[in-house]
Amino acid sequence: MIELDEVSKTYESREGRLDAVSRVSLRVERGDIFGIVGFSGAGKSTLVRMMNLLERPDSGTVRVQGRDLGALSAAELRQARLSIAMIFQHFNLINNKTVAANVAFPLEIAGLPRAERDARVSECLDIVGLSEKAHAYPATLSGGQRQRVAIARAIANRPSVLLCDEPTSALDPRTAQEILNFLQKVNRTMGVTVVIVTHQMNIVNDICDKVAVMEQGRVLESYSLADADYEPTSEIGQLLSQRHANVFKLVAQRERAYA
Amino acid sequence: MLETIIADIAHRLPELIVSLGETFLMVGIALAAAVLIGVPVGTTLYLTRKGGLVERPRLFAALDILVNVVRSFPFMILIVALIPVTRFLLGTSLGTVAASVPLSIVAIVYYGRLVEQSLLDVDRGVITAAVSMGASVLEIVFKVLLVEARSGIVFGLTIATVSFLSFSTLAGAVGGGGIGDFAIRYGYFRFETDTMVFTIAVIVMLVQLIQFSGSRFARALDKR
Repeated sequence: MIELDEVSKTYESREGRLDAVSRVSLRVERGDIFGIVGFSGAGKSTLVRMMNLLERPDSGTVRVQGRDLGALSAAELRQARLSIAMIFQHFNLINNKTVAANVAFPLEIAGLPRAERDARVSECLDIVGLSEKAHAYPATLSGGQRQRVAIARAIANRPSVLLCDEPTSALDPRTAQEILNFLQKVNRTMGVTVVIVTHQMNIVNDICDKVAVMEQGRVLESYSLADADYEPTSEIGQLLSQRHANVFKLVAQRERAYA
Repeated sequence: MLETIIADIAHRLPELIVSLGETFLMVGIALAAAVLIGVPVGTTLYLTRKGGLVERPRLFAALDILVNVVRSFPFMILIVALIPVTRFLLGTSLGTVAASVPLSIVAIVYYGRLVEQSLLDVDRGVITAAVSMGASVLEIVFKVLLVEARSGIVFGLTIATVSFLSFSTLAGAVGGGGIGDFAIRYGYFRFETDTMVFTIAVIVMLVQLIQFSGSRFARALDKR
């Protein structure tokens, strides 16, 4: 579904060069919930933003549904983006538009006739359980509700991919769980491939099928969480695999080591 | 004493009303120019700057400098400097409409800057989201940017209107008339202090009314 081949991105600034992403290759299969984890500054956000070309890689290719995004014209890219939805840490809703108008926005871009638009909007709001808030403005909603509106907006055009850039990082744990449930629902009922970038390790164990561990712009390892025989080599990978084993043992070991 | 003041003012009232009409005409033309041309100018400044959606450094620099140059002119000098332009456009450089030409030029650049500032205040994340949804630049401008910035744009127009009112008082220099010219002619040149005070009171009330309704409207538009 998504194939990154040797993509790199370097930022030049007054402080010097920063290799945000260096030579990353990655495959996300259709129907996956794919986690990209790492500490902040690992290049996760840049990587996921390459998947809809919000960030253009300096080198390497990005293929979504078999199409090389870098080779598309501006108009073709806009067309391709209709099926690559995205949600963000800070929701990024249009605050001067009602909830319904926010969800209708991508449909307007897609050129859907008004009658169909209205039907689709109520359908999507229903999926995230916010039908009664259709005429409210985002400012009157809680963070969790705003993210649900963002999900409704993201699925409005029935995308094949949903990119999530730190979707729960601005939310409290319980609301975060609720959002994850909706993402899972979207994945299972609509067959949408989901990519989640996060620094919250528990998300990966909660809903991801596969994970890529990033550090300093590189993917250290990428594997399926269902593969019981796989032995993670990265520190984060090992932390993740401790979910059934004894996490406390590892922590205790570390504490002894520092003592 | 009071009776003479009232008589003086009553005597000048018909002319005051005519002057007020001239002021409204000039400010109205300037406002139309500000909205029709100033908004596109401000939007272009926003879009073409470094890191903007349609980065065009050269166009941005040219427009940026032009706006600053026009805004540098003392308005009185600008009126005189633009006389040939006004004559070319209207066939005359005298009268209320003619005085609206320099006023409109100032209105465009002044309001353009205010619009640019309002757009810069729009959260970049919302723009990013719109880009990720496949929106074109025009769709982003009309359906996101101007929607999110609308209360700042209206508030800016309120500030601009008061400034245009102030600028318009110099229109007498090219026979534009208006309430400022009225105050100078009767209040200053003829030493009719009561007329002067009354005229200024009218202007003060006008400004209060503009600011009050503008602020209110801007607040009503703001759902953020």
